[in-house]
This record gives sequence, C-alpha cells and structure tokens, in this order.
Amino acid sequence: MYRSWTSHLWRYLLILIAVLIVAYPIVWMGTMAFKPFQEWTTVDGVHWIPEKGTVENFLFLFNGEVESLVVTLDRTIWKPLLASVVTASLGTFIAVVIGTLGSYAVSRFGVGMNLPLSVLQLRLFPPLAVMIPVMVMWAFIGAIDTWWGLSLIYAIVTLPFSFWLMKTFFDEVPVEIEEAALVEGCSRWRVFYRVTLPMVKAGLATTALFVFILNWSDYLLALLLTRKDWVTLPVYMSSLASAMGGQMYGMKAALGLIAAVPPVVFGIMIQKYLVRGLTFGALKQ
Amino acid sequence: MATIELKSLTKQFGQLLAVNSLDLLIPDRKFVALLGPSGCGKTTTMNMIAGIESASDGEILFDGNNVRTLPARQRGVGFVFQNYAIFTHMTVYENLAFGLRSRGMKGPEIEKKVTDMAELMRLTDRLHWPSARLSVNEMQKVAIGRSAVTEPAIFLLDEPLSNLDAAFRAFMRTELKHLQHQFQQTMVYVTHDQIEAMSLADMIAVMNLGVLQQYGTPIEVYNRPNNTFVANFMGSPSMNLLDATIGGGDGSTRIEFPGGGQFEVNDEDLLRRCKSATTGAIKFGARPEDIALEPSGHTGDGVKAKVNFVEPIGPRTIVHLAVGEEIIKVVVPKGSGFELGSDVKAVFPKGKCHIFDAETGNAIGLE
Repeated sequence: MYRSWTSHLWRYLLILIAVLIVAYPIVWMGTMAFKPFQEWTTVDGVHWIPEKGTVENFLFLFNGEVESLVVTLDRTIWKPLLASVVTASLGTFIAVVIGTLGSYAVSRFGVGMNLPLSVLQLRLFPPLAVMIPVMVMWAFIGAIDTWWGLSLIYAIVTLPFSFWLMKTFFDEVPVEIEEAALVEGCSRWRVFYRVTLPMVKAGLATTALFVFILNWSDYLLALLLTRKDWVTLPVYMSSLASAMGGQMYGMKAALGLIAAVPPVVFGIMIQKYLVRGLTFGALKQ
Repeated sequence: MATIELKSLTKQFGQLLAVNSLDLLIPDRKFVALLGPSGCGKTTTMNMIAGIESASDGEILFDGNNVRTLPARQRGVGFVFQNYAIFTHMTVYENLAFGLRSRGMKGPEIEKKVTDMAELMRLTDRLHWPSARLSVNEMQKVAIGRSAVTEPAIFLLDEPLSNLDAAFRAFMRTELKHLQHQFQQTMVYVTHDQIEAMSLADMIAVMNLGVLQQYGTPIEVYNRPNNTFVANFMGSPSMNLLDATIGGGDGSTRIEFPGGGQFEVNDEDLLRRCKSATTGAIKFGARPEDIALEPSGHTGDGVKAKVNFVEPIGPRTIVHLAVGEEIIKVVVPKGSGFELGSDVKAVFPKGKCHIFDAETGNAIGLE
C-alpha cells in the first residue's frame, strides 16, 4: 500500500513515543542498577549515567554484604532465584501440558461440554477473593512454603490461559489434515505428535512464554503461600529494605535486571515462532 | 484389488439424515463418481468408506469383508481432500514419505518410491521445498502423490480439482486417468461438477438429499435420467422441464402445454412411454442441444415460440424461447441468426424426449 511521507512521519513518531514510554523505566532501572549508594537519591535531580559506576549492587545481592555498605543481607538472592525458576517453570510446564491435551480433546472431539467455560471461571474472580480459602487449603495439605505447593497454584491459575490459547490454535488446524494422516496409517496419538503438535508449535511456544511470564512475575500468590524457604524473586524484592538504609533502590534495580533475563532469553529463543504464533490465523489453509 | 460394496449405509447427524440407506456396488478397478449438489451426502459417504466418519447403520464391504468398524488406518485406502490437507510443516519429500513411514517402510525403499512418485507427479525439482511454499496446483499434486505412493487398492478423491484453475484442472483430469491406468485402483471420486464426472467416470452415482437417485454409466445417466432431479442436474445448460399433459383421442397421442402449443407424439419410444403413464399431468423434458429450431412457417410438428433472449457462449449460442408462460433453452451453433423477438418453431427430437410424473418426478415408462 502506498503511503505518503507525512503518514510515515506520523507513524514513526507514534512508535517513537510508545517506545520512549516503555523504555524510560527500563533504562532507569538499567542505570540505577550500576549506581553506588550515594547516587540513588540526590538533591540535585536525576543523573542518567552513573558517575561512579559499580557492580556492588549485584555483589551485595549474591554475597549478602559489600565493603562500602554497613548493612548486610540476611538472605541472598540464590534461594529466591532458585524458587522462582523452579516454581515458574514447573507451573508453566503443568499448565501447558494439561492445557494442550485438554484443549485438544475439546477442540477435536467436543468432549466436556461446558469444560472450556468452567476452566475460564477460574479467572472470573479477583485472585484475592479466593486466596484466603486457597491458603487454608494449602495449609491443610501442607503445601505452604513448598516448591510443589506454589507450582501447583501457578499451574491452576494459568491453566485457563494455556487452555484457551491452545484451543484457538488447535481450532485453526484444518481437521482434514488430521484425517489425511489417519487415512495414511497413523494412530490417533501419532497424528497428534507427528502432525498436529508440530503444526501448532509456534502457538505452543507463544503460550508457554506467556504463561511463564505470568508465573514469573507473580507477587500475590507467592506472598501469601510462602514464608521463608520458597520465597520468589518479586517477594524477595519487596523485602529489600532495611531500617538503616531505607529502600535499597540500587539492589532492587539490579534484581529487576536479573529477573528480566529469563523471559527475555526465552523470548529470543522462540522469537522465530513468536511472530508466527501471534499471527497464526494467517496460516494458509 | 478391491470391490467396494455399500449396503443400506446410513449416517445420521442428530436430526439430519445425511446419507439414507445407500446401496452401491463399486466394481474392482472402476472409476466411480459420486455426483450431487453440496449437502447431498456424497462427501459423508466417502468419509464413511475411508473410515473418517463412522456409519450410523449399514455395511461397508471391501472385497466382501465388512470394514465398518475398522479404524481408518487399517483400511488401506488413499484419500485426497478438496483442500489438499498437506502437512505444511514438512517438506514435499516428507509429505510423500509420510504414509510409507507410518506403515513401517524403511529408508532405501521409501527413497525409491518417493522419487518415483515425484517424477510421476512432476515434482522432482520441488522435492526438498517446504510444502507451505508450494502453489495451490503443486499442493494438490503433492496431496495426490502422497495418497498414491502407498499404492492403495482403493483411491478416494473428494473434489480434488475444485480449487484449481481451469487449465490445470483439465490437465489433472487426464493425469488422474493415467494414474488409474498405472496403478489399477478402484477410484471413487466425489464431485458436484457433472462435466468432470462425465469425462472421468466409468460409472456415475447421482445423489440428492442423502438418497441415491441413479447409478449407471455416464451415457445412461445422461440419456435415460431416472427422475427430474437427475435430468436437471446432468447437462449444461440443464434439461428443459415443462409442465404438460398427455392428451389425444382419435388414435393420436399429443403432448399439450398449458400455455399453448402442442405436438403429436410420433416416435415409438415416447409413444410407449406416454401409454404407460397413469397420470395426465406430466413434466416434459428435452435437452437444449437436442431441440431443433425452425422458422415459424415450418410445416412439421413443433411448438410455436418467441425468441426471448440470446446468449452467445463462443462456439455455441443459447437461445431462450418463450413457450406460453415458460422459458425453454435451446443450444444452436453460433451464427444461426435467431433475432430477438422473432417467432420460431421448436421441434422436439425423436427418441430424445423424456416424460416424468409431475408429482413424484420419476421417469415414466423408463426401461
């Protein structure tokens, strides 16, 4: 389509503004992570570039102490990092596997009548409304502050997303493709993993990333269902304050940078599929 | 090789009777077309033969063995879909090898069969392309090749040519014929295009509303239609069907049209058929290409008509005539020079007229 240069100008201007709005806090976080304590808050306004760049914020998180600061951490980043990786990954894995298999059954065989909607009702309430009963239940089965307890609740609350996303992808696969494979001598299972699943792998990757980001960034569930051992990164971040030093902005920024790494890496890994996944409806039939 | 026999095959979707007690014998190595308008149950029938759809009732026999409960993968049929249904996440090679692999064939054998098939379908230079990049025509070639490569005794094609462009369609028609000669399969071909059915098939089964209307060779179905549906469906433009009555007296039999016009029946076949009619009210049928047009002064038998519309279609011209209230179409060679509004006489051909019961639509006195 032909566009005049003015319409191009407006387009890019709009994109630029959007990028600025999104990038501003990220850049702020990026530079803050490398600022020493003295530069965190200044009376003479904001410095974007750290005057005396340092990696001490990171060292502090990992070691619990640095020479330049008198305060120490009683908990380093290691355990929360592990907790986040384990619970977010496991929760994602369970939600995606169940969501994929379940939505395939619904999409292809029309089983479970109201199942799609009853899955959706998991998201109808604000999480807080159900979290107190969930806490009681989790306490009852001994799931509070365990890796499996948190993974389980992550899987449950993200199941609607994986279920519905995967369902739309499966709905897009023409049924004739599967029938062709059936006629060509495949069993139902073989059709699923040799034909259908490869055809929706872009969607699968997109769904997994989406669900992972949801789990990775959760604060509320982890706050309520963990105490000490399996505290995740977001909850840990909120604890980064001390009576003496106040809010540890540098450490929080450093933690934010670290926390951004897995989703970004994951995203780059599946970038090829991501565009396909998001534009899946354009598949030639 | 394989004979397919359907015995009172029925498929019900809820309230809808998609296929109603269908009996059909498809002889070994024959090319049979299932022909009918969309929604007539032809694709459902095909799916039941393939095992994609389960039958509600009846039997499906391959060489006398009932396969109705056998899963699709064990029936050993080839199936080509209207929308190709090729595996777009695989290369052309992988597509062609798919059926062989899932049947447990090994490396070198697959390689040979796939390259042979690619050559036959003229896909050799596309063999390692991702199949999503193929043109529509090539996709359908891959789909046909993928089904043919396992050399099934039964080959089912569900409107395989309907999405292709006209030139390629004509080419594929002959290719399919060659394919059948080479592999000697029993072919069942679903189509709504009667020309395709006429040109390809040894036998045509015309279906409507889930019921078999007529089953016979293309010429039989074309020349001796069982009922008004078949008469109307076969041929383009379709057969003229006019309300008429059988009249006569004083030793002659006449066909009279309510809007005026009549002619004396003087060919034996039609005379015999008229005599076996139990009802006076009939539908009179004659194909547009069989009717002759004469000047209005013509003295022989015929019906007076007025040229209402002239539709030139290249080699021929379709002349629309007003006969009383009704319109009939007549195909004449191009340049026959019938002017709009002129009076003419339509002469119905001997031995090529049809009469049907006005109520049931069934042919009267068909032998």
